Amino acid sequence: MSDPVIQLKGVEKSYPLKGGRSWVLRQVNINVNQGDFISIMGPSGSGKSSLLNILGLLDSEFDGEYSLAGEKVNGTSEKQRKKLARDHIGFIFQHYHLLDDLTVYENLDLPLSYRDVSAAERKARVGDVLDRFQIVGKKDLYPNQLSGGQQQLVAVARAVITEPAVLLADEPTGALHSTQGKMIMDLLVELNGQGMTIVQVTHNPEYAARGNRRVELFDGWLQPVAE
Amino acid sequence: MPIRREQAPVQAGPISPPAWQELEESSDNQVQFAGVMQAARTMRRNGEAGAELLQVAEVSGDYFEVMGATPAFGRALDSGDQDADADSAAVVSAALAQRLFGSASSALGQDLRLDDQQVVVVGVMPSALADVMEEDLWLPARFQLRHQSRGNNYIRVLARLQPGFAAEALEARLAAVVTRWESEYPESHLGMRLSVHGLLDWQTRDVASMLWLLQGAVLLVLAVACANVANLALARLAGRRRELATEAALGAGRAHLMAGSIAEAVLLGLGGLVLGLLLAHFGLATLKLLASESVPRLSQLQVGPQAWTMAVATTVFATAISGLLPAWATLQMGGAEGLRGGRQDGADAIGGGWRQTLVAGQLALSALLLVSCLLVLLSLSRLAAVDPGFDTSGVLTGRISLPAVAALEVDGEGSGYERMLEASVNNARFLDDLLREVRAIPGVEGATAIDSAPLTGNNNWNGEVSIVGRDYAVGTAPTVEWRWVSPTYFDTIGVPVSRGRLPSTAADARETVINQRFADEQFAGVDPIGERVAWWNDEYEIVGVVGDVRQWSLGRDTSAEMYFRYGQAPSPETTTLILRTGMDPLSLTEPLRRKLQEVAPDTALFALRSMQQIEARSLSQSAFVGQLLALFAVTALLVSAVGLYGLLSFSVARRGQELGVRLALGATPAAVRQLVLNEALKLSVIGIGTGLIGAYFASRLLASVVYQPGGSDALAYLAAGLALAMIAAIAAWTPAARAAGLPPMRALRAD
Repeated sequence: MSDPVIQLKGVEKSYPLKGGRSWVLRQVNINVNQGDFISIMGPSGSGKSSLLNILGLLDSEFDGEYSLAGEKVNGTSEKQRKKLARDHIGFIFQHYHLLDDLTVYENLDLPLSYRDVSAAERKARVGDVLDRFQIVGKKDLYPNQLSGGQQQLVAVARAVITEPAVLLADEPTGALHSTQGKMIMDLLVELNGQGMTIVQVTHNPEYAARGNRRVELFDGWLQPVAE
Repeated sequence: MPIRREQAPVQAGPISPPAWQELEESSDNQVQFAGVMQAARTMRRNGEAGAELLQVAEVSGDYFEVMGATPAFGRALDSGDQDADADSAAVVSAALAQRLFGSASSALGQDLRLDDQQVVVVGVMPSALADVMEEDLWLPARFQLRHQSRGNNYIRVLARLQPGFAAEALEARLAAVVTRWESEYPESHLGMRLSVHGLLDWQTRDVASMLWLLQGAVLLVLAVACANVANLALARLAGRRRELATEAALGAGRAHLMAGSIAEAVLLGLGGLVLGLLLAHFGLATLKLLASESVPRLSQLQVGPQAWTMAVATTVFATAISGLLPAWATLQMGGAEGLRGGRQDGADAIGGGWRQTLVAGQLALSALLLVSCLLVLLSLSRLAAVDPGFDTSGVLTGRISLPAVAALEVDGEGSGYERMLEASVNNARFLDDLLREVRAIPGVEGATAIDSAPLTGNNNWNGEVSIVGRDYAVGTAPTVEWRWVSPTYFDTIGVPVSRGRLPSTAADARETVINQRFADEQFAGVDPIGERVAWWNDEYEIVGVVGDVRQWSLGRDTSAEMYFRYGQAPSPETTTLILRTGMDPLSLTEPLRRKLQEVAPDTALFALRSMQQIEARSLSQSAFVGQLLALFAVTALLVSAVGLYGLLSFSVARRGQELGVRLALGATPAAVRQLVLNEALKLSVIGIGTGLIGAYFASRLLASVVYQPGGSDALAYLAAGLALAMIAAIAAWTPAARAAGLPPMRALRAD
């Protein structure tokens, strides 16, 4: 079996408080293998988003060990961490976070513009993704001209356009109604089926069940969920 | 209303006694005329040593009535005082009365000796009129006793119009009179016009365009400030959008929602009003100091009811302008969008574009002001680099009255010309003796005299002359400025004699030297040496050509000039001593005073200045405008920089989430920084570009204060553009750096 794409050992995160510390994550150990679709569940404040931020290399202030795609994250410079994130991570947010001033096409092009990708290849890749997600007809529209589901569809397309090793989804259906939520979950399952490793945070047990593994966070402690 | 003779090349000149007499006789119930002849007279007090030169106005009987001026003590002069056999009465200024007699009231009945004339003080003018009636003393004019030629213009005319009689009607009436004169006396009046002016306009004519320019600059700064306040208010409003939306959801009406914005604007306006008035109160003395050489009627400048009214009106206007936009934006807010805090809420939709426009506008106005300031400063440096035609270093100048005067009057024996010539011969002797004594003062390397020192513009003795042997059609003879000098003048002041020699020392010689300008204009390709010029009753042989000297100011080109030697031609009643020294010229002030007291106690010495001071005075108007414009430009620049900084800071705060998304999608900090800098760049290019284009068109308004605008002015545009770009970059850097350092996690936290 190959090495896990993500490997966390004893990861802890806390904030100093007067007279002690406030713990957000305690001794988190988890391995995410290539092709996994892991759902992280837990009540509000349990540390789900904090864990996702650490996984996405948005937060480097934690204790413990973290390896991403075989490379150690701890002790690396910020520049190296950003490069690691650029090379391996794709993000989907609950509120889509498409840029209002950019068209669908430009939103999709944005992550590529931050990478060393030639103009011709960028054009080809955006065209490919537009086609693959069947949103060619919407390429010149602005986000506020799209429904929530369509916006999240574009957000997923934007996340995968760089072909990341891991797709991190922070409550991707949280702002959608059920039909749209189901459509996005179908899309994630499809992507997973094509070999994409996905880690999602969700409150919805039904959507959590679409993954192949479920873990639950409670007061910062990670607990496997019995299948 | 001053009435002036316009007759090329004379601008705004006086008229002759016969012409005046006709005007005086035409006074009726619609218009009343007064005539004034200004002169410098030496005053001595009975029984006291020393002399003083006074600025005296000889005035016609209606003068005080026409001026609407009533003495504070005693009486005014009237037509009865003009009779030749009347006692010589005088009205004095409040300042002179105070200086000579300790108080205004005690001046009445006092005797004064003016040259060889005894006068009695019959009235004292109020000090409040000092800026309008600038003379020290007024005497009844006896024009009938003076030279009566129509070509001899020395009477300045004033008119008071009765209500209902317009200035245009007076001009039409004067035009009819002049048309008659032209046909009856073409040799004196051809091409003449009498222009009518308002008194205030007339007194401020030299500075009016400068004052309008400064007024414009003040309005620009005000506009920049208003834009900035409006911008800040919009930014604050955007921060309160949720609060306002909540209030609206809870039923608050429009008036209630707008009240906050309006109250804020009013409070800011009141604060600004108080601070502005305090600043005006305490800054007035500095302003007077800066403008002392450049602006007339300065003593009347005060922060009084007029200034308060203006300040209140400006405050109301500025408050309305800067408060209106935020209040309007308030009305656009208050919907559910505001509650959700989405990006396209009212404040953003309204404020976003407006804020950018306001900041770009501020930058544009700053660019306009900065370019104007730099154009004036460049002009100043060009002016300072002008070669005045002589060596200005180590020169002290001081005006003195000459002892032999009052030769203008035609009564007594001999013609006026002969008596004036005789006075000039006597004055030449007096000057030779005096200069010999002055040269003996330790430290004095040379001493000489000229009727009026270069760069002062004090002498406006000029007129037509004819070159002997040439025929001139009426009005085509060359107009030349006349100067009177001591033999050592050119050597002492450092003006080269380029051809020929200086006039001989013989009193009966009639010789002149002309300047290069005169030679170029009238003797192109011909040797002027040996040519003769007819001037008044004599012909003068040109024996030399000297270099051109800037006689009026550094900024005014030289005119054709003829130099006479004292004693060889009738000359003015005052002269200017010129002392050359290797020391600080002002250190010779006291030794010179003492020497005059010793060898010529009846001679009044006044207006002692170094040539450097005169030169600085010549630059003072440009310097004053430059200093104020610099102050305005720096203020506008700082306010604009703060505006840009505020806009970008707000923008970074507002776009925090977006920037976080970009960082999460792989943007480098440099890319995010660049994003913010690009926003600044876009505004700067639009604002500065617009400002520079505007400045190009506005630069023609600067024509009155800019000397020789030309190629180097492009530097002003370049420098202003670069300076503004730099300031904009500095203002933008901190928000941009803040954006680049934004942790994406924190930016996304709102999610």
